[in-house]
Amino acid sequence: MRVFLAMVVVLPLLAACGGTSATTDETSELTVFAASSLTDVFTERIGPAFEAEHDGVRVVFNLGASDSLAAQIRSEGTADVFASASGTWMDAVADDPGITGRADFAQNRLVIVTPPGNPAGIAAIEDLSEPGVQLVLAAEGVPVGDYAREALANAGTLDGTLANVVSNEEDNASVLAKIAAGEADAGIVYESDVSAAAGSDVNAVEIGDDVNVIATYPIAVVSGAPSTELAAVFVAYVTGPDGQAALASYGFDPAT
Amino acid sequence: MRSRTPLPLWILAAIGVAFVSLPLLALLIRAPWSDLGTAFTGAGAGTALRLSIVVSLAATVLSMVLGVPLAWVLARSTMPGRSVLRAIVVLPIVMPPVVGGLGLLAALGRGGVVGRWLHETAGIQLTFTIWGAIVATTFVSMPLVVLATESGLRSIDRRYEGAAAALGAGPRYAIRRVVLPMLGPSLAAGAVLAWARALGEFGATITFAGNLAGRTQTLPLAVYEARLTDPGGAIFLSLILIAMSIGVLVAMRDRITQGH
Amino acid sequence: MGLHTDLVARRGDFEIAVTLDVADGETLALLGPNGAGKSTVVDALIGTLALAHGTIELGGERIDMLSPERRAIGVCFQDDLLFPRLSALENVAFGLRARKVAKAAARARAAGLLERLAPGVDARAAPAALSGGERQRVALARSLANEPRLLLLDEPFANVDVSARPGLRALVREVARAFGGPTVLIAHDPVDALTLADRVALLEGGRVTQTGRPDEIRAAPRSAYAADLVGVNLFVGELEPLDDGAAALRTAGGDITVSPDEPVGRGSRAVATLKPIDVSLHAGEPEGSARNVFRGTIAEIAVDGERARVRVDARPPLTAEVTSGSAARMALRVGDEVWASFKAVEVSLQIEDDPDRTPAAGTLGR
Repeated sequence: MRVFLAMVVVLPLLAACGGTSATTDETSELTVFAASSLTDVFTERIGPAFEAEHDGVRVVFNLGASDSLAAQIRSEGTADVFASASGTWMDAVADDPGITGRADFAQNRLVIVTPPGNPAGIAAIEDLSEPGVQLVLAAEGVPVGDYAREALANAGTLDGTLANVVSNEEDNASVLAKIAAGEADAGIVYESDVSAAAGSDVNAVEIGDDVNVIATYPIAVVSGAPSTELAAVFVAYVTGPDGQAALASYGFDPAT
Repeated sequence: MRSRTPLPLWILAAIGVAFVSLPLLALLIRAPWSDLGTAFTGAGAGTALRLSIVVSLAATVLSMVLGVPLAWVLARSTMPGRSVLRAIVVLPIVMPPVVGGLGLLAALGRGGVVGRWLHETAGIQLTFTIWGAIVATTFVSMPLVVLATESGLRSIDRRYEGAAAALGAGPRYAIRRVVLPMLGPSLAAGAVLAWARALGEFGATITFAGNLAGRTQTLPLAVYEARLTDPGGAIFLSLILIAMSIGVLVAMRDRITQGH
Repeated sequence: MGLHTDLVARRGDFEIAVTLDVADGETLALLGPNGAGKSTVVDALIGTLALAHGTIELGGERIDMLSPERRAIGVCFQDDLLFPRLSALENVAFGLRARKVAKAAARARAAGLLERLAPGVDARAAPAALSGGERQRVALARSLANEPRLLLLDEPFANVDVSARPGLRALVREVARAFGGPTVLIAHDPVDALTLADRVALLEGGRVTQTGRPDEIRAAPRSAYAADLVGVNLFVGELEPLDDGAAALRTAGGDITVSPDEPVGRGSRAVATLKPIDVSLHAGEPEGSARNVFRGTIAEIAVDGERARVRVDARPPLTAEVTSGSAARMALRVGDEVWASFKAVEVSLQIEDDPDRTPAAGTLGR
């Protein structure tokens, strides 16, 4: 019995020490909640570069759908920085617990993705309403899902296309996975998702500027966060020239 | 004779009970009871509930149809590699369901190893259909049937089958009239466990079958989708799920313990 | 006709090689200690264990190539093996239903068998609700339901309460007598074998070491086991109550005095056994409390290590076991006159058909 109790107490401590060394003085940790469409550019480029420039700083990313992230920040409040794929969810966080230094740092366009070879022969957004096309979208409430529905409404084919939806996925990564696996004929994700740097093996079909929706990504320091100073430095890095260059190479447009 | 339970055991047991029951209690407390009516309709509870019942029952039946013969082979055959086979068969119990979903996609998806052939030759597609939800759910439920049935089979004296044969019964008649009735409690236990597991299945279903209200969106998926946009509805859906599970587990427990 | 086996079968490292011949209407007891291979013989006969080689012939046909369900053997299993989820009636009807006999006909025949063999047993009862003796009666009925060509009774008394054994033994005798084909009784209790069988085959280490009528084996046991088994003094006869609560058991070979636990009816059939070690030998007429004192001549002295077995020609004939030391001290020799004595309470008595107590007995055959 005593041994078990000792294990219950000691094992998590061991794990904490071996894992992040968050408790030591030399290292400070920055927790960044970022929309999953930012996964590649943040984890491959911006995070490592920021750590290289700031000794003893460790950037920890929590990546997911912006709506999930906003809900987590509101209930648990553990984020230093929030990078959202939509203003709506940044507004929610601004409401509670509050933010500082909000800035739009990137824009992203929507693109239609199809499996390699484009089996359903999708050439334009209107084709998505053709009978028999199997379409996957991100669910309503997920920014990329809402944007996709907006673009379809702009094209005037929303109702017909929604009838072709076979699954409402939890985020753009799930949409991409389904398309890459060839399970559905088409999906709508961000252009950054299919950039050369993202390295995805799907086929992209442009959506015309007249109907496309431009997603604007805001970033901000979360109020009451453990390291607000470092968080402000990170936000400045992302909106600065190095961050913007990295974002551009991953298919993001600069914020206007 | 009453045996005295040491105090430390009582304390730890109490912590254990609290650990399990507190989240349930919290859901009850947090549920917005005043919005009961709108929460149900808003979260599409009826559709998800119907789908969950259909999918979980179908998965239970399929688990029994496939799992019981499998348990039979594991318990009764003497072929080599049986323990490896058993390990593979029960793997879904310990595997993360999302891994199972990925595996199913790779195997039975429209572009999968077998699924491609099914799709091209027979036009059969499982993903994004209720059949996909049933397949994904069966994948995680069937091992429970196999385990329960196999242990039940092992506890039956094989001489009963010898007796049935000597009395003139062919193997099938002996199984139907002697072995299956004796196996009853184990089969019931396996079915209930499988059904309860099927009812709560999330990861494999959303990965393999996708998420579409009325077709593949079972209660757990509806909870997941509603948790952000309609937290109150999500809590109500969760409570429905919990109530169903508790109801059946309690009702069946007596049945199961009654037979031996 | 009848049963002829000349078979070799193996289970793991254990091998049995058994030759048996049982005529129609005859009961053969296969008697052996635990581990002699009795259950292996049963499995080989019913077909759940394949023969290594050899044959089994029943009613002039070879059955060893047939699967168990085609062998037409009526088996009454050790610990009955009644199917726990079927009622007594369904158990008896099981074999008939398996052979596609219509449900109504099967149940009618099963009900008839139950009435004759297990009167008073609720046909709808689950086996678990019945006593050991009742279960074995149901099992006996079940073994007969299919009109088998061979009746195989595998230690039918093993799990039956001592008080229920005599009645069941009488029933088994009736059933075997009424059954027209060969009957094989597997037993490890010599009393069962000696009282129920026409002939006895002794099984030791997977081999039949001796076959013969009980009196033949008694006269010339070929192994220590045989001597031990059949050396037991066995008395079969009718009881006659005496004034003081004791009873006289009148047998064809002579009368003895026994001490029943409860009053007995005049004319009750009874089987009594007496261990040779409980029989004392004396050079002259003994004094003391023993109620059974007989004078006779020594017919045979068999010395086996420390023990000497002495057969005394008396009325009734008795076998006594003494240490070889005391045999030498008494200078016992074949042909000498001796006195043998034993106490009435040493006799173990089993009353088979007390006419006052078991009105159902004797409803079969005769």
